[in-house]
Amino acid sequence: MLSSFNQEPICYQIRVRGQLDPRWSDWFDEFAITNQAGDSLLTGAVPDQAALHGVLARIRDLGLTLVSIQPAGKNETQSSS
Amino acid sequence: MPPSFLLTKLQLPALRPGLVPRPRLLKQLNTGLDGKLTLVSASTGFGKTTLASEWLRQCGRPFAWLALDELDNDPLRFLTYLVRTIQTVQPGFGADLLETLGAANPQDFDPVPIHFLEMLAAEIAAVSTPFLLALDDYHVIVRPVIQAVPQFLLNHQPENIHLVLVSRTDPPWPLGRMRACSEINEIRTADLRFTPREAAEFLNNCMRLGLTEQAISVLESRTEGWIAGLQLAALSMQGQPNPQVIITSLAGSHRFIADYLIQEVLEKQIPDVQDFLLKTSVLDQMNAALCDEVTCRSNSQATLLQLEQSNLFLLPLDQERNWYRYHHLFSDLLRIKLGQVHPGLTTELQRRAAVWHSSQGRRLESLHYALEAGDIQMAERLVAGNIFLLFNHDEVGAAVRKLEAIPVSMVIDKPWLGIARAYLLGNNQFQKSYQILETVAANVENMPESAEKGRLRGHLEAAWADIYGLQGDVANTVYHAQQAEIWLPPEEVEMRAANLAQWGDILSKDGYNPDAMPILEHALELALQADRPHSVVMVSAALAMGHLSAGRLREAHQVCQQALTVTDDYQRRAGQEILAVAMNYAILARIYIEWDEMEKSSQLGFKGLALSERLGQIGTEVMCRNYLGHTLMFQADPTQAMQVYRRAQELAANISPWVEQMVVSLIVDGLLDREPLDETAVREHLRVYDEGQTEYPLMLKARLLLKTGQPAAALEALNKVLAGMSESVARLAVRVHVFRALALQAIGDEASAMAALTQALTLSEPENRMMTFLREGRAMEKLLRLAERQAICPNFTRRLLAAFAQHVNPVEKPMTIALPEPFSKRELEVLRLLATDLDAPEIAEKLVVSTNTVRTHVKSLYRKLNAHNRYAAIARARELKLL
Repeated sequence: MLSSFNQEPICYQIRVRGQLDPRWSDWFDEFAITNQAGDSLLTGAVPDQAALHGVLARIRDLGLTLVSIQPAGKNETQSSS
Repeated sequence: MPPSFLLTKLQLPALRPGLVPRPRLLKQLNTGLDGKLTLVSASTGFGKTTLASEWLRQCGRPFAWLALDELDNDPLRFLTYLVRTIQTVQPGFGADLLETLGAANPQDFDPVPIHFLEMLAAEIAAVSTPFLLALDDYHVIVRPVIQAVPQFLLNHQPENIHLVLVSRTDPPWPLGRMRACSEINEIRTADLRFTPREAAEFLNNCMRLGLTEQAISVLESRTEGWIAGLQLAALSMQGQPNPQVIITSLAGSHRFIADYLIQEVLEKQIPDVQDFLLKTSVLDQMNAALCDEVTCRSNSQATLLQLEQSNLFLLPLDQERNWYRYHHLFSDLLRIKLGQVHPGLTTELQRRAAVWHSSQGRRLESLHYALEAGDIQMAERLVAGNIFLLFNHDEVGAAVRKLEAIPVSMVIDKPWLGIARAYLLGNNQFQKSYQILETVAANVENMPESAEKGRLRGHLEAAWADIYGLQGDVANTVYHAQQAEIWLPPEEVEMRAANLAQWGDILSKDGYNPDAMPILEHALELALQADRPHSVVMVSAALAMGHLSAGRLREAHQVCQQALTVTDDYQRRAGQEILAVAMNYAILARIYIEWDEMEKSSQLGFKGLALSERLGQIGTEVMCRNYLGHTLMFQADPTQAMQVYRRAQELAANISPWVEQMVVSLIVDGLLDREPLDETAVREHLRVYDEGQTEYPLMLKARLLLKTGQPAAALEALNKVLAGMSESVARLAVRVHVFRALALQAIGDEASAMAALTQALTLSEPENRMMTFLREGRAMEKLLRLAERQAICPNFTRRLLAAFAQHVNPVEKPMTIALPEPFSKRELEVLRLLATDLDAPEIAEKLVVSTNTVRTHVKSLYRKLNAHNRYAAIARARELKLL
């Protein structure tokens, strides 16, 4: 019965203002952190929407400015990490 | 101990010195007072809470403040805190609401029933002055069922309340519509940002940095007025000979400013302080001793004071500055740094915090940190053999949730955690407890034989005994308690004491049982030997009950008084209550009724009620309600008495039919005290009895016969009761003799009546059982006059007659417990529509009648329901099961 809830993890790319040290990645559910033109890209897979919102709440609680968020292909995750 | 969790949640944060005055925002806030809602919404570090608390202090209206946390996503907890918060404005607010919440099952409040919200709104409307209700950190509320509560208040808003939400996210309500109607006043990020002027004020006046205008402008634009950022920047520059260096590097950097600055701030501190900050960041709340333990140092007290003085995001939680916490953003950042600087240390620090809390007897906090550290082994060890300590905590519900949060797969081989869960559930979810215990028992049986296995068996048996005991199942309780006593290691005196208390208690269930006393006395010995005040108090209650059922009021009184002394001592020493003392209050309430000290009795009854509600001990709560009901009934307030009784009956029905039967017996007994007699109400309740009768219901039937002018039949019934009694059942016998005396007198056999009365008086005098006589009213008074003339028990008789003189003609309040006049079909239709959102014209339209007709029906409904408004009428109708 549980199998119907088992979704494939979805990859997201979240852009926040300011350069974050990559060492923060374990704080963002293992999202990989790369810097790009003064912003940080957080790229990673989440099991479901609830987990994604958890990451967003963390961004909010740290006072980071959210710039964009979009689904990303699996390849991107691999290449960025 | 940390300040009570409850109190810190309801306390407006202390104003820190050196705040930037923000008159423009205060003015902006004041303009919104006439609207429904003030929303202060911005992300972390913009000074929302500081602004809101400053405003409330000077807005000129009373206010209630509630700081929310994640645990408040539980509707019962949220509502309980909400009501308690409003009590800070209006003492005594919503006592009935708390009562409802205390007795409710979680599933009944998920979602929150509309009629409860209506009652809440009605009670708020009745608060005498307009006030502000502020909910801080509202963003932690994520469950829609709770979001619905403030939303309901906004839609049905009583006019005297203004809601203030302080939140990192906007609430999910139609804010646009509210803006259009100018119902909402918003303070948002753009408003909260420091203006260049405020930034200058902060940097140069508060932080005394002496920066140039240009430097300030760089900082202001780089932080975009983010106050936490500015504060971090200021801290990194304090004492720096050349702050310009930092400003220049900030201006050129793209780094996340908090990340960058925390590094700067940390590096500026001496290594010792750096180390302290990082290591204590794992703590939610801290005092010096805890910090010492976690950081392995001895100067934490000085460091904490120093941190507070240097504005290092450390907030005192109490006036004495014993307990502190970091600003959330600051501790979040520190925790990240900790992970970077000392990978893997976090769990070790959490474990140390767990160990410290455990050494302080703060088991629940200890468990919290152990679970945070993911150390299920430690959690298991903490619980092992210490299950009882989990009970003496204000927040048993939180403990259950924490235990339930552990994945089942992880506890399947952790029998102690399993047993603890079963205990914590035991109070109102018997089925679930059974299942857990079955699983644990099966696992334990598969273990190889060992001392630990025997110990576990003992605890399992004790847990079974406890659960069966709560339900009044004598045979099973006794069996399992015996088994537990066999298996429990002799040195586990505390557990054994509790187990024996349970055993003795159940033996006295149906009245005096001589076998119970040695068991109970042994239990108290063990509890004293364990030197645990909590056990002593709990076991004392069981022993006192034993004395009570043997009719030894004075001894019961003495045992309870000793328990109160133990509790007081402990409270002075440890600053904590012993919640289990509730049962002792209940017993004392009972004794004082018998001694005709009704005021004392209701005081203790209410005390016991409040405590048992908090503890979730429904058995004790039922007892407290029974005795409170009795005092209210006797003080001629039958309506309120019935309310108290009715809730007792509901609770009792959840425990077992036996307990419910006991409550009904007491209700009937209370109703029979009243003159004139409401025979319908009595018979209505008597119907609940099954025919496999014990003595008490039989006696009550006899009492009813007596009161309805059938003394011969009553006498026959009483003689039957007496014949079936053993010599030792003295407690009931007193009243049998009293009833017989009244019956004999009524049939004209005065000599026999006097003989019976003499017997009753002789039995009662040593224990001063006055109420037994007083509650029989004028018939008894007459009889006692005869006794006085014949000098039967002269002292006691005189005392009773004096008491009668005091109790004559209590002001009779009207009785509204019986069903009121019958309702017409139309009235019932109107009643059902009243329970909806429709107003009178809409109801009229639905029923195709005129609005005036509806009003007439409503008026007559109010009269029949003895209600003054719609909410009360609906509540009353629900009580009467009309809805």
